[in-house]
Amino acid sequence: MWRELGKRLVVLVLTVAIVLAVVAGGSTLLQSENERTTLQNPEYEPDAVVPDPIEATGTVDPDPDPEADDTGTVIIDRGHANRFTRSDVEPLVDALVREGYHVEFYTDGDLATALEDADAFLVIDPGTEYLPGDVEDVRQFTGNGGRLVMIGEPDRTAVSASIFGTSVATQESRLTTLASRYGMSVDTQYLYNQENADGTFKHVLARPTGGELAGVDETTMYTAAAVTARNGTVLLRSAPNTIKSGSDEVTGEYPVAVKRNDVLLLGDKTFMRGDRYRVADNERLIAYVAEFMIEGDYEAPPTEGDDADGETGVDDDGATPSANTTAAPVATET
Amino acid sequence: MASRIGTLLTRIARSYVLFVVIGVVVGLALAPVAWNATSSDGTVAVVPVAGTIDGGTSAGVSAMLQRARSDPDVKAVVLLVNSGGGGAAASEELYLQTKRTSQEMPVITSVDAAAASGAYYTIAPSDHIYAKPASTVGSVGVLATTPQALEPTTIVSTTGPNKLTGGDEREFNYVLESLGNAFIGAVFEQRGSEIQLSRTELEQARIYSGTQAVRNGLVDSIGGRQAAVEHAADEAGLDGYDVRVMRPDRTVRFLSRSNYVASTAPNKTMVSATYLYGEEPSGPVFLMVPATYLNTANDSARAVPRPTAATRLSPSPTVAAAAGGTHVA
Repeated sequence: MWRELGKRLVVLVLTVAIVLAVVAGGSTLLQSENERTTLQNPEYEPDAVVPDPIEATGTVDPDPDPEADDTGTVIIDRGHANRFTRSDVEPLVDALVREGYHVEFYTDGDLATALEDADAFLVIDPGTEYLPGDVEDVRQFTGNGGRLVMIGEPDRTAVSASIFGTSVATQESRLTTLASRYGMSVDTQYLYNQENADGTFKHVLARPTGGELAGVDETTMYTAAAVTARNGTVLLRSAPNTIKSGSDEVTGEYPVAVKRNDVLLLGDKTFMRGDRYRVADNERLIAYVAEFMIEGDYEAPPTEGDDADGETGVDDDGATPSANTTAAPVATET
Repeated sequence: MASRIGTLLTRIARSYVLFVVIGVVVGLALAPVAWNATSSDGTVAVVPVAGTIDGGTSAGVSAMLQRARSDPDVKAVVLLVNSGGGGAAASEELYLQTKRTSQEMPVITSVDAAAASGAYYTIAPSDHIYAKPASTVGSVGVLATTPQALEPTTIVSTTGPNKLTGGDEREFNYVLESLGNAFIGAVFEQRGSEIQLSRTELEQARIYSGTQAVRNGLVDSIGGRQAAVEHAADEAGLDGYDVRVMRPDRTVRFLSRSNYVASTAPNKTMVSATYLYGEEPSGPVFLMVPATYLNTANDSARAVPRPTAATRLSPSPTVAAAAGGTHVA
């Protein structure tokens, strides 16, 4: 009797097993028919999607003209609400110091006196315009061998928070009166380039146009403005297909660094920042700026007959026919 | 008499007439079933993609699309879109879901007030996109708050220099660019043959009106929901069809007031822009929304003390009228 019962139990278990096997197998078969197609995503191919960062290596090694002085002074303007931090100028300052130069800041007082013992004057992104007296002091300085480096910026929107809430204001590089006396100007629009950029469109690449910038293949500028100089030399132009904001359909290669006699004008201050100065060949551009300053050699004119000497200085410079400096772009900017 | 009645009954019972009559009656009774069985070849599932695309929206829409794919009756899907986008990863999830669905059945999109940024990403794999003249489409791009330099600091201890911020600003822009490239690449992969814009033009991330979008190929034609449903049925080869509107069982949150007004979602609420960031963001938040949506003027945070407690707007007559106007049964 137990045997008979055992047989029936075995049959029962086998039946359950067969049923489960059929159900499981069937569901697997059905699923494999319906859902198991994998989605192909060629649009996400990493090689096509991930941009390659530009290399950031190198050191700032100025190689000034052997005839230049071994020592001297560079004055950095702090008297016109200039917007820059220590980090913005440190790589340049470091290079100048290594070459034996002093770096001093001009904050207030008579600019002519401050520039008396200097070889170069650096003006970065001033927040206020130069008064006529200051402009004359600088012109007298450059007219007698001093070098002037101006660094402008496009208009920027700054958000500031205070106890009254947040406010949005436009920051302008107020270089118009000073730069226009040298036949130079800084644009207000920023440049961008969607094809040739360091990471994002506002980080434009610039390339040298002549032999002046030896060893520079490419520099990066982080939000730059176009600059112009009447009868000047363009040192750097933005990469092809750069667009000036506001005129999105016009592309070009805009000058971002120009030189005229003893004056250098750049359209961006961020390329020499402490965390950017090694990117591409920025370190070589900084070395060039340092060399340009070091090679300046200001000699103060004799003290008697100040006015006449000042004018002589201007004439020697030969840079600025004042009647022609009121070109439209410059005039509208003020 | 009784025998005559009996003979009559016998004759009736033997004749075919009775069976014919019974057959007609039974047939007519079953007719509606038969009618339905033969007139509907399948179902067009309407899937709403409304509100800010966050993890919840993404999960809800994904579930609806999965249901549509696994239902043998559903032969085509219509996406009803009214969204200004949202989180990047959530939008990518929806893109992949739409892409998978469109590989299995026709997917036709009808754009309501907006299909911008992440919402456009979602609908890019559609077989055909309808928009209205006043719809806003485009804004193909990504935005995020740039991490602030925090090191060196002793306030927080970390095991690596980038632990606190994830990388510096320059590196962060490369991260963002790779997200943008994936977005642009996906749009061109799906609609490359229709889009008349160059890659750089699309990358400018402009917003276009419905008619502008038809011109530049971001959208295929002008039309509303009905056109989309009919197109979907046509694509699926359905002569007769049912329309089933799928509903996510949840509240729909809108970042933009115009999208809120245009939506017919049953439980809709407005959120502030800070809703997207969360109260204490622990890492970068990549957004696929037009930047105008993040304007403080558009931020209802002033009316809402806490971002999590989003206000529910009581529908004013204007809102009700607008919502009613966009409603299609």
